[in-house]
This record gives sequence, structure tokens and C-alpha cells, in this order.
Amino acid sequence: MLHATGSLLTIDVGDRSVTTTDIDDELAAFIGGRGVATKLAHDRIPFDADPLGADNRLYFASGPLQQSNMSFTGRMSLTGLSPLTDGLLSSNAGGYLSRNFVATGHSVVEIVGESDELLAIHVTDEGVEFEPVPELEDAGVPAVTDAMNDRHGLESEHLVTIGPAGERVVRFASVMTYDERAFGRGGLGAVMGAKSVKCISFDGDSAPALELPNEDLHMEVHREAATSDDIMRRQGTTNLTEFLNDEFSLPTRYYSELEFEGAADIGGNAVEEKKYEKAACSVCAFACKLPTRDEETGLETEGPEFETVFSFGSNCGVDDVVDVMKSNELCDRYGMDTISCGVTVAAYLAANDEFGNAELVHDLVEQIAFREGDGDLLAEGVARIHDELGVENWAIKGLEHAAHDGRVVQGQGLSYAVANRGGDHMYSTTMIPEYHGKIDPEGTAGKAEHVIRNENLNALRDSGIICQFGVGRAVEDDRFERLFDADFQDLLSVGSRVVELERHFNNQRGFDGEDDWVPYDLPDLESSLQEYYDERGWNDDGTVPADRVDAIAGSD
Amino acid sequence: MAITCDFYGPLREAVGRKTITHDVSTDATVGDVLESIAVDHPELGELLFSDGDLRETMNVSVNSRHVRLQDGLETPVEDGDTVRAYPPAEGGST
Ligand code: SF4
Repeated sequence: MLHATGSLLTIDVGDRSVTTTDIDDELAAFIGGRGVATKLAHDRIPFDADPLGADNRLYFASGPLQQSNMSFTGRMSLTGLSPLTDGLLSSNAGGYLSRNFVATGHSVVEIVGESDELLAIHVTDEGVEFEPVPELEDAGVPAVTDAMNDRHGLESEHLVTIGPAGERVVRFASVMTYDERAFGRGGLGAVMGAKSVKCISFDGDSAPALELPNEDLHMEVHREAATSDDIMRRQGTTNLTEFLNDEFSLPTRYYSELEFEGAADIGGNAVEEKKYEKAACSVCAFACKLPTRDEETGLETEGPEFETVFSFGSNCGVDDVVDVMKSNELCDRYGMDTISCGVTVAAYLAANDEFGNAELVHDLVEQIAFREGDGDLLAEGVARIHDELGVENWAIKGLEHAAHDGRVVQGQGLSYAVANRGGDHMYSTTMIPEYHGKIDPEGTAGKAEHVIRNENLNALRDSGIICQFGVGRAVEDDRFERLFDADFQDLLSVGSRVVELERHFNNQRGFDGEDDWVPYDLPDLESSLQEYYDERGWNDDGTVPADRVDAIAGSD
Repeated sequence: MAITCDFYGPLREAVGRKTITHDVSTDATVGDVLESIAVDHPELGELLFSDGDLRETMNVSVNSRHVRLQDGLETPVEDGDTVRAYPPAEGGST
């Protein structure tokens, strides 16, 4: 089975020590990316660690395909203990980092400890340098890039950076790369901030030796990506907006309605009108990204993508695409997840009867990033403040609920309930076969097996690493076999072990079936949860039996 | 009888507008409705159909229920029904 090669580099920012460890066994068992990072995090982060303490660890990880020239592989994975969900979590970002990361010679870079001053860390194939950067306190993400460029000639494709939100440990702070691409969900930017690490650069010329099987397939996928006439290549994910609104749901005004009257004004066509050039991630010919500009105000950003159209558009009652672009730009600049931030702002608007007030939305985003005024409360996220606001809790396991509406695509609802990452649509993407009529969107009965298969597949996707938009579109089951030179069922088993280790870690922190919950009624949820646990071989209370974890290959 | 058809993404571009209200005979199926619209808009037919079947990647619903969960293109339509045709619905990043 193909897997990443390259060592684990551990950087302790407390005592500024650096160690290199051979992790060949872990890579062989978990492929790379989220898989190997989950294994390392499970074994190396104390189960009782404070997410914002020195013991928490961050894992930047690449997969084997980040050494290829195949489209849909310009991605990286980041894993750590989340201050938002309080569980183990991985986040995934595009951009141009992955090839520069691999060129350092490492497959995983681990950050531990706590620095007593704000740092930039420079990782190359020759070693690690620490640069105190107190003058970059509160700098926005583009300003950090400018500083690194001026001082070291480093461009944004070499950098991961936090904004003021990360420094102020906003619980949904993101880690940004390439200025506008986000390791968005779960607040790992706050973990980096708690460690006083403002940015990390990756550079080198020492990619580890790796033989990729079936490289002819890489070219085939690449050709398909380059010649596809898919609407996503023009409108990104925003092409979903109108038909989900009309046919399924576009959650509106803090989820109180399923349909938004202004969907056309903030959806795919409106965003495409603002798009001024094509953009991609490393080596990806599909190029689905969305650089946008409003000529009238001069505002430039990348996106919004569909989830942001929901979180800062329909869910805030905002129907002007430029206002949504502005929220997107602020979140990128200050380093915050647009879903969690938008949903938290929407909760505030619901509490204060202010839906549609775009000016207030933008003020709140600024206040959250700097923890000023009401922003200090909102920076805690919906799960921790909904009582105080007097609104419903639309966060699952602490993670704000995504746009894909589990009330309507109910297999996706089941998926949100069981996901180790909570209210996250990318964890199993069960909504896709439901939108396509391959599974009936109504009900949860009999859907546990779909959710499990998709969770395992997506954990494999994030270990490999392949972009979600390539899976299904260009990389089907048989192509997974050829890409990884392995039987598909064996590959899915890797994904299953990843989900199980996440679950086991979270169980040690007190999570069990009681946390497998959604903020709405789903038919047959109780029996579907039992079916899910049974099929996974877990205990009736949703916990993982210890002997299963002991049996996972490579576990200590 | 009158059937309301909503089109999305490239399908809308093929017919030039979001909504077409189309008159068909009483025993018509959703396939009949779409094929008849495709006579005036051949690009719609190319996008939606392959060898007379709905393409694997394309989506059609009658009254908000996917035709794959009904009788496919043979699903009957009645006066006042709404047909929607939309491209693949991949989820995505923020
Ligand atoms: S499909 Fe889009 S998001 Fe995925 S790697 Fe390509 S450009 Fe990046």
C-alpha cells in the first residue's frame, strides 16, 4: 500500500528543541495526512490535556500524493485537540503549501510546548530557526506574509499563519495558508496562538524518495480535470446555492427557515459576476477557486464559497453578495472559520432581532477577532454562549452546524450526530448521495452503513490526501486501488481505524453516545445510532472497546 | 396540462432562463416534458440525457422528489407539478 515517507519533526517551542523521529511503521499503517497524524496525536497528546495548554500538540501532515503531479492533491492536513469541540480533530486546507512542506523532507511536523514570546518558525531541509516577532502582534494574515516576504523572501505558499483571532484564542480561530486558504474548522488557530506561534514557514529541496504506482493514472485524472466543463470550475461550491434553496434547504435567519428569498442575490451567478480570474491549488487543473473583486468598493477576497454564502448570507439574513464578500475577507484577514464565525454572529442577530444588518455583522466580526465588547462572548462559540444569548444551540459537539441541512437530508443528520468532529458536513458527506437521489433523503433507518462507508472513505481521502472535489468526480473506488496499489476494502479499513482512534481519544475525555446528538428531531435516530455502534463493533454507549484500539496496527 | 420546470447551473444556461412553464398531454412523463423542451434547446438534451436515460451525474425531481426514487424518466406528471433539473451537488469547503 502506498504511503508517505519522511520523518516526524518535533518542535518544542517552549525549550526551542527539535527532534526527528522515524515513523515508517505508523506511515505504513496509516498512509499519511490525517491518518498518521491521528495515530500520533492519539498516542502523544495526554488524554487530559488542556487544548490551550503546552501539552496539546499540532500536527501538520502531508500524504503520499502530495509528491505527485495529479490534480486534486494540493491539500494538507492539520490535527490537534480542539478548543471548540474539546476532542481530537483534523482540518484540511488547499493552497500551495503541500509541495513546499514535502520539500523539507518531513511527512509530519509536530508543534508542542508554549513559547514565552511570539514566534515565527522556519522549517527547512537544513533545520529549524526560531525568530521572535513581537512586532507582529495583532497583525492580520496578509501583513504577516508581507513581513516574511520582506525579511526572508518567503511567499504565501510557504506559510501557515494565524491572525489576531488565533492570538486571542478565539475558539474558532483558523490557521491560514496562502493568505486565504484555511485550516478552518475546530479552532486549531487558537491552539497555535496559545503556543505563541504566529507563523511557520516550510521550504527546502529534499522531498523524501517515493515511488508512485500507476503514474499514467495521474495524467489521466489531470487531463480530465483540465478539460472538465463542470460548473464548479466557474462558480466553485456556490453553484449549489439556488437549487439547494429551492429543492432542499438553505438554512436562513439562524436556521429558523429553510428557504432564503435572497438566494439568487448571493448564490453562484452573483459570485461569478465578481470573479476576476481563475485560481487553484498546487498542480490542480480543476481550478475551482474564486478570486472576487467588487469594482465599486475595491474590495477583494477569495470566495465566498457556499458555506460562507450560508453562514454570513442567508443565516444572517444578508442578501448582498458584497456584504458576504466583506465578511469573508475579514475572517480570512483575522484568521477565523467562516462557518463557526458566521453562525455565532447569526445567533447574536437572532437574540437581538437584527437579521439583515450587514454593518453590525462586520462590526461583530472585528470585535470577535480582537475579543472586544460583545465579541469577547461570541469568541467562545455557540455551544458555550447560547444560553446567555437565549437562542437554540446549533452546535454539535461544540462545532457550529454547517449549511447542508440534516432536517432535510436526514442521513446527513445522522452523520452530524455521530461525527467525531460534530456539525461538520465534510466528515461523511452523506448528503451527496441524498441530493443525487441515490439514497432517499428522508429518514435515518438503514443509513448507518452509508455513513460508516463515507466516514471511512473520507478519512482515507484526508490521509492520501485527495481533495473532496476529486473524490467521486475523478477518483472512484477502482482508481483509489490503482493510486494506492491496494485493495479498496483494505484502504477503507485504514479510514475506519482513523475514525476509531479519534473516537477512542474523545471517549477518554468523557465523550460517549450522549454526545451523539443533533438539535432537531430525526426519525429512528436512537435505533440508527445503535445500528451505527453495532456495525462499528463499538459498545452500546457509543464508546470504543479498549481491545479494538489495542488491536489497531502500530498502536503502542 | 401545465408543468413548471426550474433549471439550474449549466441547464439554465442551455434554456436561457430559470423557469419554463410547459404544456403537455395528460399522460405525459417527466421524460416527455424535458425531451419536448429539449427540442427547442438541444443543448439541454445533451446535458441531461445519454442513450435516452438520465445521465448518472444529472438530477431531476418531480415535486421535490428525485426521479431516481420514483420511476426515473417514466415518472408521470400531473397538472401543476414542478420539475427541477440540477447538476451534480458536491459539498464543499468554506
Ligand atoms: S478541486 Fe479546487 S479545492 Fe480541490 S485541489 Fe483543485 S483547486 Fe483546490
